[in-house]
Amino acid sequence: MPDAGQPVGYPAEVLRDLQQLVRDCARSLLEQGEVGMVIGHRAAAPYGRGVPAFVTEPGEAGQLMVGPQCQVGIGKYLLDQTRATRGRVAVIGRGCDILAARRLIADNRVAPDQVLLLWVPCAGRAVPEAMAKGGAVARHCLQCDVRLPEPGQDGIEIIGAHLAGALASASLVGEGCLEATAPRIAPAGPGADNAGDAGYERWSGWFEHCLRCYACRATCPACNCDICVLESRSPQWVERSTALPQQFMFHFIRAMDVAGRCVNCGECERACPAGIPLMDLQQLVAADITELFGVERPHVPGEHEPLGIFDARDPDPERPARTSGGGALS
Amino acid sequence: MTTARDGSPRRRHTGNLSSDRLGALARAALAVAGPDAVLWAPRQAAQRWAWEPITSPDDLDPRTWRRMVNTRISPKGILLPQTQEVFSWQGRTPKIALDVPPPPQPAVILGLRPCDAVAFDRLDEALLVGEWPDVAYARARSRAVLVTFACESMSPECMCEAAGLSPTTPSGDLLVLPAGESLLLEALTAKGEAVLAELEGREPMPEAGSLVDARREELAGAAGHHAPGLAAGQDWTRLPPADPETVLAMFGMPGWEELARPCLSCGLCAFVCPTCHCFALTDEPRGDTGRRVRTWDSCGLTDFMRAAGGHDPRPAKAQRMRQRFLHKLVYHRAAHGSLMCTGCGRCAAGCPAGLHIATAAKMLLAAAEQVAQDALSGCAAPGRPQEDPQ
Amino acid sequence: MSCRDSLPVSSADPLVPTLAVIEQVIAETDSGLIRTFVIGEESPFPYRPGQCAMLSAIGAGESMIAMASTPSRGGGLEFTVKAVGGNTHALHQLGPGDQVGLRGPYGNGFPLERLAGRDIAFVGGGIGMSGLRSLVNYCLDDRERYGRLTVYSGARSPGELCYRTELTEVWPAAPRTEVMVTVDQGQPGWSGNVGLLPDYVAANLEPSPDQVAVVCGPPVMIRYATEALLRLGLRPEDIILTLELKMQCGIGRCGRCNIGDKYVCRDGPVFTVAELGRLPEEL
Repeated sequence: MPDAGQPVGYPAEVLRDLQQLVRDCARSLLEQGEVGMVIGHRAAAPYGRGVPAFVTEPGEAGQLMVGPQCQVGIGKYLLDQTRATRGRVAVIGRGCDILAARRLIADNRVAPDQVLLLWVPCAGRAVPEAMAKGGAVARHCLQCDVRLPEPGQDGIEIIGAHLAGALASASLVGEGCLEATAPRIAPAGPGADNAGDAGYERWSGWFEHCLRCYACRATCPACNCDICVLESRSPQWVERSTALPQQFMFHFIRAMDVAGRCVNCGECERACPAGIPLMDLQQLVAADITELFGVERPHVPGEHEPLGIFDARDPDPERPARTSGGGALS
Repeated sequence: MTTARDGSPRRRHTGNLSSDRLGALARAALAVAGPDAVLWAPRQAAQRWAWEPITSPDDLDPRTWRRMVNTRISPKGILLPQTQEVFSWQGRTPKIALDVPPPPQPAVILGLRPCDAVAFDRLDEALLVGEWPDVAYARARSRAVLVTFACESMSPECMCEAAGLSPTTPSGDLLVLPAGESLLLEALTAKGEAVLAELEGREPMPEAGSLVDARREELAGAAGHHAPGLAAGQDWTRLPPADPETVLAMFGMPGWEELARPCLSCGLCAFVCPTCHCFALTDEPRGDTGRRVRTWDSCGLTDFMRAAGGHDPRPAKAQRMRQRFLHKLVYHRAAHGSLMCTGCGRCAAGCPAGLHIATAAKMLLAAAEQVAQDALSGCAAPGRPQEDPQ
Repeated sequence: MSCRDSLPVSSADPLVPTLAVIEQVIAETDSGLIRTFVIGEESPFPYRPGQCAMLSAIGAGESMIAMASTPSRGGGLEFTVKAVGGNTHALHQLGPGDQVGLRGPYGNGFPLERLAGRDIAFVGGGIGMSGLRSLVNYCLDDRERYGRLTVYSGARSPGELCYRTELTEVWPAAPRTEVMVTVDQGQPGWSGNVGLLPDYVAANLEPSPDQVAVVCGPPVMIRYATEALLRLGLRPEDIILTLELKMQCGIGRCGRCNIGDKYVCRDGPVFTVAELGRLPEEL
């Protein structure tokens, strides 16, 4: 019987080695004054789940952890911690955390010289409901293409590169290993159950349960405005009532604001108390970005900003879309 | 003889119902609530439990309460809806006419846990006591029938014991103790009596006083078997009734900044909570007509207190978090005598950043201890609190 | 709990306003940013000086505004409104004959029993004068009950002073009553004092042993005025403040104005400095 957080078939020793590397790295960065703070994860009750850790003393580096129990996305904390910390702020995180940090930099919300990014290989996040039984990988982790650090990225260091192979070969799905949660819908894309009446039925059904708690907005790294148009009371752009038209307004405005900038971290969906499959919405939009602008990996912040830069060669939706590969910024 | 929840002596009214007759219990509660009553019960969808209106009482599955610890979102929205019309208007000045919405349909809430049932009592304190009661809530509350199901299992986030309650705390109108193939029932209020009387008219039941007592004993012991949560061993009733000195000490202690660092200032904790009741009033004009609505709000949201002129007493998230926890554990108790947290654990389970009320409670208990010790040893009372954390 | 035994289900919802008619609109300042609205021919409810009501341009929101009229006189309720947000701007578009939403009275009002027989210094900054005006007129209507009255009124500039007739003619003519006016910035034609209100009070008030002060105005001004009054030797329980804070329901239920175990709309907005000292510092 595995104890919580140690699912059957999971490469426990590899994770322990990786964890030690992370702790040593954090300690050394702080001791040498390279950074004023290291943001990572630490274990907390219940289940030893990984919650954000904000380490400012070398002696505290021993609390840092890695592994599938690390639930919370930590990249977004750069937004307020860089303002509150003297010296640079380091993030030791997984692909989704690093992309979140890069999103903030690409959006000019955080300056590159304020941060230090350290990328660790990842084998997926566990779904909390299933953690006590040995863990199950979150749905969007199955589709993740940044589990393993990509070398050659400006300003990003890699921790545990030599362990990446062992983690890569730890199968996320399969006998004796982590069980995947079944995807809730067919892969995203223009499809029957997202368009027209069927789409309206489907999304009204979900939005009826939305509480307008703002958890999706609060956790999203692309939602990084100081004053959010959806939260603002004065002036009030979107009414606070949960009548269905307002629900659509809220979520579609957010989807469009995030369009082209979503990093696929899945925090919105994880945070939603009503269980709305928000990633479906974002992935719909991302598919459009790929089709219209030819951006193959719209979730990776880079030189391309399909909606942030006006290019005279941008496609006209009134005319037939370009065929694949020939995007405006390819 | 026993004591009713209002303190008056009354005869115990109990019953032993076979669990496959759950639908009959629901029908009896509906009959007491009124002809247009709506039945609410927990339903499972995509691994989550949520409160849903149930059109047919026969759809109820008696094993629900065995499989479920609690819903992810509290049932408070049944009596205190997220969005509620206060009034509507027609016409423009000088010919405006106002209209108020009809009273809500009565609700039967079947299957809430003791933490949630007690939460409604706390809402009553916050919203009904004193001048200017919340009449809209009063109307919904007065029409509601609450059937509480004691817990057979708990999760590590459950903290009712820290809040001075238990998985079998008598609460609501009727308490149900699942026991194998039986449902042991005990009426707690006049409404609960009416439900039992109604039920007995359809399903004669043996009296079950001693079975109820035995089952309560059993459940009190068994329900606690789970991985230890953060609140294990805490007793929030030990927080002193708030004298100004202790409140100021708790307010001024330096740990709030550190505690609040992971907070993202969303409203999830307040919205899933069964006792949070802050609301916003906004107008929704539509040409010549419109309505004023009240919607749930949270003291954690960034501009909760920001005034039209720009003044904001709580610009930093550490200040807002402090307000939230102090209101839950200290301020409400100072005004009404009871903790405003019943330990349902939803905030801790739901917080996207992994924050936990028990961490704050630990800090507060420590601060209160310190004040008590200083008083004993004759130290000077703590002076004005330190500067507010930024 | 026995709360449920006496549920007020048949009462009217206190969040629903009644409709009242504007009788008169008076421009207080040259800019027109501050206007006094006279509502109804008489007050629909009894009230005390320092209490407030929720005033609404239906469709634009609601604002908690102090009564500037005094209950010792007949006539409609008077509200002095500064246009700062959606609702107040919308109110400013309305004129005589127009309807407004009205509900109240809310708040604790001034502690009149504590003022009896005392010398009172009224310190009003900007629109803070409006609640004080109710109190000053109330005291003048029962003149023998109170000691010396000194009104300190301050505004940013001469054009922003309210109640000019009362400040320059009516109040100075009343027995044992003095009015002292200052502005932050002078302008050509102004021969009165130029200087910040708290400094003006500090320089001019000679507190008697029986001195009480009542202060209303923006938070910053209240803080400096309080410091000045404490330095002059007034006791914290003798400095009475009216707090301005965002309020939405007015009835102590929506949570917005909760400070410690108090709701400013219900247990305030009038507090003594001593009482405030026992509350968390969140104002």
